[in-house]
Parts: sequence; structure tokens; C-alpha cells
Amino acid sequence: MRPIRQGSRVHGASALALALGLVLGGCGGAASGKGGGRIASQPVSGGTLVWGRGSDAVGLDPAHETDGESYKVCDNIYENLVAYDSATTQVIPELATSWEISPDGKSYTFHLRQGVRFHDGTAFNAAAVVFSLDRQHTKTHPFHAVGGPYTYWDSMSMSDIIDHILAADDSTVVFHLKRPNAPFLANLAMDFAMIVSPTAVAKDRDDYFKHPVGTGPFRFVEWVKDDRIVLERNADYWGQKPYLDRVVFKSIPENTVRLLALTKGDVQGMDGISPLEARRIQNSAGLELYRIPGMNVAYLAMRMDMKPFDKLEVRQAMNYAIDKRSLVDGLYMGFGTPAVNPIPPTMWSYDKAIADYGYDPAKAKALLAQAGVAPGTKFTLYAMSASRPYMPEPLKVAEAIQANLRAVGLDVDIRTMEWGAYLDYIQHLKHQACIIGWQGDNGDPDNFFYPLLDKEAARIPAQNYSNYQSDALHQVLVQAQSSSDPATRTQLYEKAQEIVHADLPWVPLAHMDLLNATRKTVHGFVPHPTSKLRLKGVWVEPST
Amino acid sequence: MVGYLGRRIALLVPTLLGVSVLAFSLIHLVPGDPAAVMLGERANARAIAELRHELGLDRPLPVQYWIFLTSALHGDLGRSIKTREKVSVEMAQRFPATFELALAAMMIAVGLGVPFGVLAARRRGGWMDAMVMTGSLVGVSLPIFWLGLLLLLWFSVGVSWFPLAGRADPAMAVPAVTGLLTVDTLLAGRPDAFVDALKHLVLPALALGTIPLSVISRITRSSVLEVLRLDFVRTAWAKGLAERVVLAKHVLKNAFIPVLTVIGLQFGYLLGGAIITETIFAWPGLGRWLLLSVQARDFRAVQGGVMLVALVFVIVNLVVDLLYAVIDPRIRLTPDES
Repeated sequence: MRPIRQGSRVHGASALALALGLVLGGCGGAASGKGGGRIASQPVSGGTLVWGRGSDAVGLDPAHETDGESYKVCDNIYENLVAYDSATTQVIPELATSWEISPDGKSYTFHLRQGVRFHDGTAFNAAAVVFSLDRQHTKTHPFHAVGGPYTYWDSMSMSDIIDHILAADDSTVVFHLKRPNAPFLANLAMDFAMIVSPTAVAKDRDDYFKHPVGTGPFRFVEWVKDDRIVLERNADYWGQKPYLDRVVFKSIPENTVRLLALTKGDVQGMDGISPLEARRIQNSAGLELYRIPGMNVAYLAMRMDMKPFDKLEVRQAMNYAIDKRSLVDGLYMGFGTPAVNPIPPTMWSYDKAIADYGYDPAKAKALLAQAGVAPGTKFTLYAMSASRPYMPEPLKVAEAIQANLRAVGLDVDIRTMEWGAYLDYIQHLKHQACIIGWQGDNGDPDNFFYPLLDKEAARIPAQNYSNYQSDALHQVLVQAQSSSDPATRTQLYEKAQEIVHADLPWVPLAHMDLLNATRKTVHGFVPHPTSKLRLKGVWVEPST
Repeated sequence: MVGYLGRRIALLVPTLLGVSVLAFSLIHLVPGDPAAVMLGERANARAIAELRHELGLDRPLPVQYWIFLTSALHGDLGRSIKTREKVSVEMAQRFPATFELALAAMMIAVGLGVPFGVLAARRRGGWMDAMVMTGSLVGVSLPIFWLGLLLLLWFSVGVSWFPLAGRADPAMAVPAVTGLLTVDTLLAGRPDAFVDALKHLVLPALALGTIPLSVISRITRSSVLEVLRLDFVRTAWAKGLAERVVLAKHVLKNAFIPVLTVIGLQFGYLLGGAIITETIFAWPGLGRWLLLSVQARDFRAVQGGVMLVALVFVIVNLVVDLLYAVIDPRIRLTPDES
């Protein structure tokens, strides 16, 4: 998942300020074209795009980063062997032009693009690929201990998948796996697997994270901490040259101010948009809202080893009692979809045949009575205090759920904590029920099922917050990991959805839309379900 | 005087040591783990264990503290757990922004607060007094969050007099010498960049200066009122001195000691960082960095940051103590005073 920090919640005062600001600011900002309309249909080279976001990057060495803000910048400086398609998670060639997978699924051979150079002039070759990935994999690698931990590599269990990486010749790299692993190729398109310049890492060592050198369409120029990161066009880029001269990533922590900056034209694009702001952007003439289904899920996890959730009837009653549609319409303000399964409907293998339990309080009451749960039975529901990319206002969601459950005779005590303390609490399985979610990394269903629902993930510190222990599901998931046939894998993940739908470790709540906005003078922006921010094809109308 | 200074500086060592122990203990008492926060929802058992090992978090707490302390004594505060940057570099990048903003806010607060306070006292019970008293009450009660947004709406979005966010226009970048943009732009001989930096400074300094301005005007008023009642003031009036001379030379000088104490305290607070102002105005200062470090349980950054804030606070108060003697020659600083 790509954690994205969202700014603070929109308070009454800031909502008012925003409304006023949109009126005062109008659409006559500096970046507007003549009359504020679309004056050009052909891409124009040149200009600067300022992208407003809630936080600064943490670092710019993709192997060491864990936060979405760092990766947004890395997405434009670096490239991978393989990449996700511009709008989907289908894997396409990038620095590798082609690849072969051995019949046993244990060896991947990549043929590299020729004539590519890093921004510092270093030649891109097999040695650079092996360096970038082997420093993360091999503990005895001379650069393994340089620059900090390889958090993503570890959390994706890459060293459990890869045996060794070899440069067969200058333009061929071979990965030998310990066991067949279908999501492996998609993992290589993730940010941590970006290819870095070995020369630059050797030169700057522990400080490389602030002097990034890749092969991507933009090269690094300047970083003023907590203020801005500036990139400029890589004139020697091997592919279609970027249109923009410069890109500035501008940190504006307060959501309202960020949107005012977009309205005024100080920034031309932004993310970290709350549903309320999205509505306002939709109603603002000079602004464009980009809304795509998010690759995420928000859910309520019930501890299956604790009363009252140890009874299937109670978990079924919970699923009947919660009005997801009203949640999405009210608190997500329509910028989401009620969830039925653990994976979003846009993901391959999503099982449309599975019908949601649906909102039926009468049925919920009956099931609770059947389970012997007396009216007024109390349980504690934990909810995080701040917004997450999959849920705008967790405490309000918890309150809505509380009201739904009160109507069927369950008394919910809501508790909340600051994010760090919250994670610590639920990962140690101290809760009875909690609200949490997940943002997918690589478009593979395994990236949802295995970390969140497999019995292995219930080991403390757990990610399987229901302490759901299903051997049947484990078997299906392991089988799906080792199969490379898409049809077989689809069947297996459909089976996984059936198992989860029957056992009900969760109440799946919602999938939140991914929201970005630009001024209407910005063209060529394509939002990506993984939250990758690739600005190679973006161009801005020249101001007149 | 020299002995006094020496003693105060020597006291810094145990003060900072105490602060570092306190900061270390508090950040470790708070539930949550830096490894878990970094990994977020994706924290599995293996990744957390690896990360904790890499970061040295699996060592006993006293050992971790000892490592920090011995490195700190060698001038090395270590690298931030979250950003992997040297804590000293992180602070050096942000402190000038905080200092510049705090200084500007205090200039507004003192520049307006003291005259307002004196005028209110002189015209006690009059319309000026009522205005200053009401204004200062409103000033301390206004939420900075709301005031900041309002200032932005009026002066940045509405009339475009001031920029919306940040310290400077990227196009106006000048080489960093002091880190204070208003100074660096002048050193670089760039009046246009100076004006730009000043424009960026006005609104956040106004928002941040409101509370100190209110407090200073109230303290000045009550202190001046007290001195106005004293015999020597009556004598000064009786001598036929002009009002300006009586107020500036006789009253204010004697009334200024408590005002100076408050100025010192307020300035010390502001130098600790102004989280809300920094957040609203996207001001890259120390306060928000410290807040994010606490949220990330980045105890190395927190320790360094808290020690810096403590150091600054002690220095500001030392300067205030030295100024007492300058303003009031009856005050003698001796090593025995504390």
C-alpha cells in the first residue's frame, strides 16, 4: 500500500473559508488561458507545473522510502524494469524491452533497453539493475547497510521470493526465484524496485536520498525541506520527451489553503482532496476534478476469537445492520462505492456473482436473537482519529455505524487514538472490533488477500485484525501465488471471495475514489489507481 | 557579571541533560513504535522486526539512550529515524525560518503592544483604554487557525497583496548564508527578492503576533498604571516635564521590567515553533517538524528538537536577565543570583 497523508479535516471555519475563497479567487488565476477556457488542443512544450500536496517527501531513494509523497517525486525521476500501464495496473515494458518466464515459473529473464543513460551520465545496464535490487536483497552486499532499512522490500517479502539476481551479460538480467510467485512481475513495477544510478549511490552513500539520480523524464534540481522539490526536463530522455520545463512539488499542509492556491493559480494541480473539497472543485469553473475508482478498501474488522463475534450469526447480523449506501452517500459524499468483497470491483478476479448481505435491520435483529445476544449487549469499536486515503472521516463513520447498530440492539462504545498509538493497539490485537483499511500496491488480488486475511498475517504484530484463521483460505491463496495461469488464478481468487463472504471476518464498508484536481489549463494528466503521479505526458497552456 | 554569565552557562549542561532524559522517557512512554508508524497498515511481523533491528530499536532503552548521549557529547545528534537525515541538519534547515517568523511576530507585538499599553494606561477609562482592552481580549481569544485563514482570504485571495503560502517565490531563490531570507536577499543584493520575502512574512507574522501583542499591551498597561501612581512620577509632572518625557524617561523605563519578562517568555514560546501558523501558511519551520516527529515516534529527532528548543529558551531568558541590568542600573548581576 502507498500511505498517503491527508491533511487535517475540514472544519466548519475552513469550509466557510473555502467557500469564500472560491468566490473571491474565481477562476482568473495566473495559469488560466484567455478567458479561462481550453484554448489549445495540441500539446505545447515548456512551462512549469506546480503540484500542491499535503506533506513533503521523506527521501528520494526509492528503495528506502515508505510514504506516498516521496514516491510521487520518485515516479518522475526514476524508472523500473517494467511499469504499470498509464491508467491500469497491467504490466508493460519500461527499462526492459521484453522478458521471458521459464516453464517452471522460477526464472525471469529481462532484456534491457539499449542506449539509456542516467541523469549523471552513467550508462544504464545489467550491472545497474543488479546493483539497485541486490543491495536490498543480499545482506553481504557492500551497499546493503548504506542509507537505512529496505522497508518495502521486507514488507513485500521479496527475499522469500528471490533466490538470486544475475547479470547474464551487459543487457540481460536473470532473476532466479525460490518458488514460483505470480505477483512477482507486478512487484517489480512498484516504486521500491526503481533503478538507481550506482555511481551516484556510491558517491553520496548515506546522503544519496537527497541527490537522486535515475533515468526518468525529469531530473532533480533542488529540495527546500518542507517547502518544495524542483525537477527539470531531462532533455536526453530516451522516450517521448516530457512537455514541461519544470515541475515543482509544493508542500501546503492545510487542505483549505491548498485548494485556495489552486483556485488562485499559485498551484496548477493538487491531491489530498476531501469529499467536501471535491464537490467544490466540481462546481468551480476553472478547475477540473479527476475521479477514478480507488484501489482500496475500508472495513470493520471483528475479532473472530472474541465474544460476541465468535458466532457467525453475529457477524452476519453486523453485515445486515450497517447501511453502507448511506455511509458512502453521506460521509464519502458519493465519492466511493459500498464494498461487498475485500478487493475493489475494478480489480481483475472480482467476483460479481457474490451479492452483498444488504441493509436489513430486521434480519440483523433476528440473527442476534438466534445467536442469543441480548438487546443492549455492548462492545468496543476502535476508530482512527485522522482521515486515511480509504476513509475521509473515520470517527463520523464510527458514529454512523454506532447508530445503525443501536437500532438492532447493539450498544457500541467508540474509542479512538492518535494514529501511531492506534496502529500499535490494533496490531497487537488488543481490540474487539476496529475500523481500518488498505490501499493496494500492485493491482494483484494477492496484495489484498494475503496480507489482510491469511492466517499467517494474524501473527502479532498482525495485519489480519480479525484474527481470522482459515486453512481453506490459506490453501487457496498459496495455490494462487504459485500459479502463473491467469484463468486459474482468477478462479482461485473467486473462491477466496466466496470463503471470506461465508466466514465474514469483516464488514466490508467502502472503496473510496481517488481524487486529484488541476486547473483547466493543465492537460494530459492521467490519474493512476496506485496513486502514482507521472507527469511525463502533462502540458500546460501558455499563459497569455 | 562575567561570573554570573559563567554560572548560567554552566547550568545549561545539567538543564539540557535533564531535558534530554525527559524527552527520551516521554517519547518512549507514549504507545506506538517508529517502525510500526513507518510501515502503517502494511506492518507485518517480519518487516517490523527487520526495521526495528536496522534502526537499533531492539536494543535495551538504557543502551539506546547511552548511544545517543555519547554521540551527542561529540556533537552528533544522530540521524532522524524517519528521514535518515542528520538531526542537526534537519534543525539547521528549519530553525532560521522559525527564528525569522518569531522575530517578525515579536516586532509587531512589541512595536504595537507597548505603545498601546502605555496609551491605555495614560488614558485610563477613556475610549483608547476601552479599545486596547477589548482588542487585546479579542486578540488572545481568536483562534489562530481561523484568523490565519481569514487573513489569507482577505489579503491574499481577495486583494492579492500578499502571497498565499511558503517563505519565498521559488524564482526568487538566493544563496543561503544566514537562512534568514530577509537578510540573505539583502546580502545577495536582491531588493526584489527582499520585498518578496517580506511579503511572505507579513501575514504569518501578523497571525502569530496577535497573542503576544495582546499579552504585552495588557501587561504594559497594568505595569505603567502602577508606576504612574508613584511619587517620583508626581515629582516629574510637578517639574513641568513634557508628557512624552515623563512617559518615556520616567514611567516606561521603570515599568518595563515585567514587560521585558513577558517579552522574553513569549519570544521563547514562539521560537519553539508555531505549529498552527506554520501549517496554515505552509511555513517550513521547527514546530510542524517537531509535531510530525512526535507522530512518527522519531525519538532522535524529538530529542534533538526538544533540546534545541530548551537551549533557545534558556538563552532568551539569559538575555532578558542581562537586559534587566541594562534597563535598571539598580539591578546588579552576581554569581549568587539565580
